[in-house]
Amino acid sequence: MRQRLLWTALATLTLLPAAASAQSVSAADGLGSPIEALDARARALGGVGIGLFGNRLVPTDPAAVADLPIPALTFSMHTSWVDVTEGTTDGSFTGTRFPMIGIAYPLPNLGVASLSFGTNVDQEFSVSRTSDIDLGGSGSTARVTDRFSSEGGLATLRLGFARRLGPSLAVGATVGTYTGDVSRVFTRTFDSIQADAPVPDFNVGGQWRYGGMSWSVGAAFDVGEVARMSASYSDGGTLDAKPTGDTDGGAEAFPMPSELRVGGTALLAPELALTAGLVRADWSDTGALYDGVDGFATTTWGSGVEFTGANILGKPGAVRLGYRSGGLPFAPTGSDDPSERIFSGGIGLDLLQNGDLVVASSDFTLERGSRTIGAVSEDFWRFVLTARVSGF
Amino acid sequence: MKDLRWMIPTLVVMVAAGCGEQTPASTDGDRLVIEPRTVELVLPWSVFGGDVEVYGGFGSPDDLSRSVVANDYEGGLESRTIVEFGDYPSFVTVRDTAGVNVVDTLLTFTGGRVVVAFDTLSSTNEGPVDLSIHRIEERWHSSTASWEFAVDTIGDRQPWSAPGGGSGSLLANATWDPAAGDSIVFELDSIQIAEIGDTTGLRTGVRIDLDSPGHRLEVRTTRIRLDTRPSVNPDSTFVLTTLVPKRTFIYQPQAPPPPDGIRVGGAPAWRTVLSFDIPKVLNGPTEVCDLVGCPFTLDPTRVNTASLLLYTTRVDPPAFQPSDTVRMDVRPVLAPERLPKSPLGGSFLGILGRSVSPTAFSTDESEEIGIPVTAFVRTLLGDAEPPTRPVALLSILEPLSISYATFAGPGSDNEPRLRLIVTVADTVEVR
Repeated sequence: MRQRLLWTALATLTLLPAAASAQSVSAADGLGSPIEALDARARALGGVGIGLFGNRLVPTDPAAVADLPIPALTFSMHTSWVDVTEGTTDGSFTGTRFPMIGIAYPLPNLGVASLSFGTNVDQEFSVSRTSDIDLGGSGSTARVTDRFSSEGGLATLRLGFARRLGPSLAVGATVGTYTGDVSRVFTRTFDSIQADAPVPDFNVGGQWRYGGMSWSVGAAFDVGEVARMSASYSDGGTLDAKPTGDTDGGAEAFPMPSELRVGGTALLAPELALTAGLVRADWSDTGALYDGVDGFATTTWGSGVEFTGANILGKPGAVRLGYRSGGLPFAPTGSDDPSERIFSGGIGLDLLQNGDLVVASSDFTLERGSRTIGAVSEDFWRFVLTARVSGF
Repeated sequence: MKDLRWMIPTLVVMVAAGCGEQTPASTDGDRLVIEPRTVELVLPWSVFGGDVEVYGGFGSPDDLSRSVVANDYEGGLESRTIVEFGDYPSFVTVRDTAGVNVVDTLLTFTGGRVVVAFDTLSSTNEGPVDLSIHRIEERWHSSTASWEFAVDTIGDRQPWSAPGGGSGSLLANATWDPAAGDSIVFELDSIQIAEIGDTTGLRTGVRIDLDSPGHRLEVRTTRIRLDTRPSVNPDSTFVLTTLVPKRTFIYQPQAPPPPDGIRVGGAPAWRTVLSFDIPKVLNGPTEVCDLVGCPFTLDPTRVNTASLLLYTTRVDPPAFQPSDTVRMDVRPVLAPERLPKSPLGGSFLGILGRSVSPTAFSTDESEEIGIPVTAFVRTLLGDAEPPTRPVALLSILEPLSISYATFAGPGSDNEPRLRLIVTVADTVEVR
């Protein structure tokens, strides 16, 4: 039974698409809309995802899993409902994504090994425009609809290891490989043109597959059981995009930003903790590759409180509130710095316990946020679910 | 594990929400990444075409479901319909005086009539016209019969005893008034019925002539009805009908091949074969270069649509001007070296073809007719050697009508042209 669960988990890891998280029109700018492989708890507590109490597999905090006593599988998914205003045009869209799945396995006397799959960038978007074009020559015109669609995303498959070095210090590291692909296709539809037969759409585009390596290191310092400070540094390396099949477009190498993430948690009262953190990444080199798009150095901070003494539906649980504010990496040239604000709240439930060990748990978070990217503003609701199963 | 079950509805709700997946969409045209340019190029014949040949003789008037009679119509069209009737019935089932059905093979034909039905809309007369039927007294071949020849097969060419279906004896006269109905009846006596049905002689049927000049009539059906008296019950009379295994029409004048134009249709049918030789790199004409710059590479992926533009001309003689919609087809010539007998490939235009109004061929004002040839042109412009370059212009069925369509040929002011709508776009990159 244990082996079957383990293999199921590994198979799921390999089959999950390189799906994105933060669905947004900003995916049209630069490399796309960045996302973080965070679980529901981290999102409920301000969304920085480092320095939280407990043993959790979170790709953004390599050392956090060091004390995991038994194997665990973590899986997150979320659904977003987004209202977008672009100039005088309103719209909305919905989507479900799978930002993270991971498995951690304690190795006796060595530490904890982990394998996780987390999204980095969402590249799903489409742009359309209807216009009248001059065909030249006879002076005739035609109405056409131009549509550019991008489908795909970037994710990272990470192999990690974490180990406690002493009563107060734990360290961790990951090495990852970029995966995923993107299909970018321009289509011109001829709505009205003087022709003797239906005019097929004009298509041009291609598909690129991603590759490249990244790595990260992190450490967590515990002050007894009343506080924890953590930090991580990740090197994004170079993202290689290689054309597939008969794609006409060329290969590209994107410099990916290094990322510094720090955070901590302090116990304010028994069962009540305050957490805060920030993350800094510089996307300007990546943005420099694009025409008409600027890349920004972003700083995002978040904070939250967690009450772990709750009893929800007869189960021990936690109640969380958080807030996050920060920048976004790309925006059309000439725009103000793009930004995002999110209020969040959530609960966590320990569904099954064996002594002090939580064998099964789940976390639910509801976020309400807004973004501004150039002339685009978005308001969104996002519901996040994370499930964790241990002991297989 | 029971405690995990309540997660299932939550997962179901979220997955269901995911089924309504919608891609973030922007209307900001600045995010379109590339700005393609679509232009219309009209190439003259000298740039893309060559080797125009007009071939005639495809099919025969007897392939048509209708035939024609005409007398000095629109500049002298003469046409006669010739018909061969099948064997007369040799038996009939009769109830005898005892009330028993018996098969009677001793039949006597006491008279009969030839009934001819016309298409009133396609026929040109609005008032009564006179027609006559004549016995044909010589052998003829329905597929090759013409105004001059009764038989015109390989190794056997027999002229009529008199041009126009021979000098057969008159059987009957009648007048058809379209206001009274769509049919005309020629009454025949028993001797005439016997002559027509004589299987010991040549038994060659009848010829239908239009005697009133200046008209053209279209014949839908021709039947012979036999008044039959059986031997078993001689007081009774039956009306029996025979099959009409052969019917065709012969006409004059035969239009000569056009010296420089394009002709499609007729009976026997005309085809026009023309060849496409589109350069893959355009260096002219000036109008094209002004639009897209030269040299301009005609990549097949750039060609959105391609149309062969033809310009109608007045059909001469006017007797052959179409009186109904012309349906044209375009098919590739698969073995040009075997023209005019080359097999043809699949239609470019589907089963309905390209319809052209008949009025386009009765005026000096040319009408532009576009024939889509996009897939063919793309093949020609591709890297692989195209299977063929010539195409045949023909009617959707051969033959379809005695009338035909004509178009201006190369060298004239309205020579064929090739209209291309092409889109030029930069390569889409990953960034």
